[in-house]
Amino acid sequence: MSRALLIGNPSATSDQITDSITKLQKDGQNVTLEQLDRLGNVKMSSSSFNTALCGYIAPYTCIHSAENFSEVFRLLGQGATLRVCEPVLPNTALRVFSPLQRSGDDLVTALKLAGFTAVTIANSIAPTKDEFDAILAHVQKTKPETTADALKDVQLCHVEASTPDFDVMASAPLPMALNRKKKNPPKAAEPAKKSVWTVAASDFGDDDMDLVDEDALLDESDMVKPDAAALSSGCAPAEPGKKKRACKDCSCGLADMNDGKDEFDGSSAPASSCGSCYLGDAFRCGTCPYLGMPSFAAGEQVKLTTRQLKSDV
Amino acid sequence: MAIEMSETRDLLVLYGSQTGTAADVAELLGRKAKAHHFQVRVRSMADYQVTDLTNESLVIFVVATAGQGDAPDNMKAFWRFLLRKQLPLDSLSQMDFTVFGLGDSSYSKYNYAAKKLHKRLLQLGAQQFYKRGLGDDQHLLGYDGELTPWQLGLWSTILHRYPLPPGQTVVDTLLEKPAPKYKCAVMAADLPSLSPNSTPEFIATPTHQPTPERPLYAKVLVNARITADDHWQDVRHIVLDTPSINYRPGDVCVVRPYNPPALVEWFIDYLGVDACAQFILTQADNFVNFPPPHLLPDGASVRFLLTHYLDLHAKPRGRYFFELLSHFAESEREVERLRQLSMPENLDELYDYCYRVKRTPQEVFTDFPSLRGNVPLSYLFDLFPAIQPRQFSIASSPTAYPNQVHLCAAIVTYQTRITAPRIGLCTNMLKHTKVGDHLKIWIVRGTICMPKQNHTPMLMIGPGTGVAPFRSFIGERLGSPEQANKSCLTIEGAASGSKGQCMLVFGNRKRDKDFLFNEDWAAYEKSGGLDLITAFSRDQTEKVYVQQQMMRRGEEIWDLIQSAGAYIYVCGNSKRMPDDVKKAIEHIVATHAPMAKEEAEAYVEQLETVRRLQLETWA
Repeated sequence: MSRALLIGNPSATSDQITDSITKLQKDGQNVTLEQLDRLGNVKMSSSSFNTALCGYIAPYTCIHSAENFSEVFRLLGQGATLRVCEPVLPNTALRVFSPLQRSGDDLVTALKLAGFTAVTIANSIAPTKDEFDAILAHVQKTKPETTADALKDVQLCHVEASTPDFDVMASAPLPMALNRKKKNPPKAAEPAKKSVWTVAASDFGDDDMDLVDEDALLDESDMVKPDAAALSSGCAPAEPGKKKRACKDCSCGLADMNDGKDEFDGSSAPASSCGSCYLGDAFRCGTCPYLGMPSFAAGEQVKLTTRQLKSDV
Repeated sequence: MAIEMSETRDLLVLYGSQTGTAADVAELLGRKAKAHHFQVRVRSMADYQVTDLTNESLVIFVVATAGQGDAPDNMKAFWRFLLRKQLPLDSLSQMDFTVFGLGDSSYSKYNYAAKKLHKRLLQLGAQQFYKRGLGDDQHLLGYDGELTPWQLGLWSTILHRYPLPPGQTVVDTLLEKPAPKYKCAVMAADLPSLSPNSTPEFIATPTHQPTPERPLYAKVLVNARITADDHWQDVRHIVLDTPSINYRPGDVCVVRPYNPPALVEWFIDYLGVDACAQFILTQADNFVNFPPPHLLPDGASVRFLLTHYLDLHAKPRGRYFFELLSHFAESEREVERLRQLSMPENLDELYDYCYRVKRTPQEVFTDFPSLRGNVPLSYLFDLFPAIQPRQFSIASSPTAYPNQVHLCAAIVTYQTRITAPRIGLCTNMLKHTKVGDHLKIWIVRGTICMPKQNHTPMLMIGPGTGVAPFRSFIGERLGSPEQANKSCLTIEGAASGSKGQCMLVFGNRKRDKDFLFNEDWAAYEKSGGLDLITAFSRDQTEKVYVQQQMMRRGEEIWDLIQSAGAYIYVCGNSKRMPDDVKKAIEHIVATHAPMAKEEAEAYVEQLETVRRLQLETWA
């Protein structure tokens, strides 16, 4: 099921919120609601949503900050979509009179800066009378002196955007760099620059030298540690149901089962007639009761401990 | 007609290595580069003239990260040089590079050394030709989990940029036996043979401070088990005779271990070598440096090599170990299996067979009996890494025990799926050392040190063997336990005002089994100089840990930190304890200051910045 993040509006009534949620659920979305002012304070893991809706709850009065957008960006997975609805002013001249800080184009820029791609204005329409009153009331909360006239050109701007289909911080070599033909054999650094190094080397070990702050070299992406999935990629030894390795001259049916030739019924398996048990672990099959013991002479009787007799399947 | 000059195919692999793993990876990459027909040099950063970097065209850096996000020792000088502000920002523009880091994500500063070097090289104008790779010890396959996929892309990128000369193909080392890094020739038999145990050693005690090159041969005076005989863990108190050696509390004693004699004899027999023969090393090209003479002196015997230089106990060096062995096995079944184990697509099988169960090289050799007598001496340098020295926090004060160094070591032994127990090379050597034996040691600075002022109180949290350096700290303040015992009879001993308070927080499993240095603490407590808090996790049904006991005494601890300006030290296993203890301190600050949670965190962070909170942790 597609997971949607609905950003709430602190000014909305509970009916208005329920309305929006029901609408989305009808579309088959699994909806999570989060209030705008709590974004960033609540812990949600990265890449948890396929869609996010900001400013879609009546009254449409939300102004989203750059921090809001980057948090939403973090919560969206690769190739996810975002829809934003915000009141904007058609031109910037009016900004001084209003807490509305941007035009539709400014909104597009803000989204691009947050990392979104394919940012387009879907439409920009004048609000209805009710919507206008709500916006005015909202603005007057912080700037009581604002008149209806100052907001007469306000529009509700709908913007659509998506997240890139690569992961944040993923890297890929640029084709340009790959094709960079080295026309000449690599040039050594110019003599002047080399001499700086040589001169610098003459006071090697001098503790008073002016050094770059090494901690400042790191950025936020460098603090990220690998997650559990990355730590087991390439091997899945702990997974139950993993194919056990069959030994070379398998006679117990394990090899056939691994090849998908036959349905294998463990209960009828002969105890050990593969002839590999006496060899070392390197040659024993994955279910061999002798695993962990040194090799022994073929035919020799070896006593197993209770630990070894216990099945680990 | 103009003849196109063929490009030079020079490649440098530079490594900064703390435990030898980065050196291993560097050699592995170097061999692969050779198979791609490069002129390759593999060098440690300490053995490389840093100013030559301005002439290098293609460099792969392999960098380990030490304890607290630091550059490894053999990278330190190199790194300090690269950090100089005076270096012009485009001075490495001629260089193509990539970085492979070796780190452990259970540490907070994961792979910092590699990440910093990567950024600094970019700053200096070097061009990254292939993405940075970060190996993680926490990966189920160890660094191989990242190295294997990273290498696939690396070599295809390199081939794209530096196409092979016409007519040449990449050498498949699985089909063609690679050359060993050194040629090892046994010297003519008419040379006087050395007696079995004679080694070109130098027993003389140095008159100067010992160094890795000239270690001290310290005589063992005491080797005592200090946990109950029926306790699962064997912890040793070892006293070494160390005349003329200087150290301060908090310093670390480095011990160079050797292989157990029985294991050495087993290999001598298995390899079919003449243990007394002397050998000389030569080399076909300039690939890697020779082992330094202080580790492998000229004229050493094969037995010396197998005892003191090659780590016969180290975990097999990745897929290459099996690939190389596949060239020497005689039985077809074994060759086939060794090849399977060395293929990148079978990493999970290699993990299951070898790493998950911590299989030793000896056990691998046993599983492939047709290798017996067929592995040439020269290849041992490719199969086995050099023995690495091990560090132990010194558990004695130079004032309380002049001319002695005490160690407190937990003997490493554990069980995996393999029936025989796994053992640690160095701690098992310590376990079996007898009084009168000698250990090769030297001293390095630890990360913790005592407050400058003698009256500054110390709050010391050291569960398990983490208590070792605090025995040194407390001894420095209060003298030996014997002296403390005497001074408690006098009045001034109990209330020696000039000495700051010592509060020690110790924890372990059971009071009557593993209460390390129990009697020493009792003497110090009696003298009035020590305040001891203990937590024994298994003495009651509910487990109790040091951090809980600290919170019970929160008010006193807060008073010690805030009013008396105490220094706080945390020492021991790095798994969870340091974080838990830090949280406990934050909790104490938040409760008793009182402060908001964030304020308390900032307060503790500030303590760490000004070094009033110091940590020394190990894996």
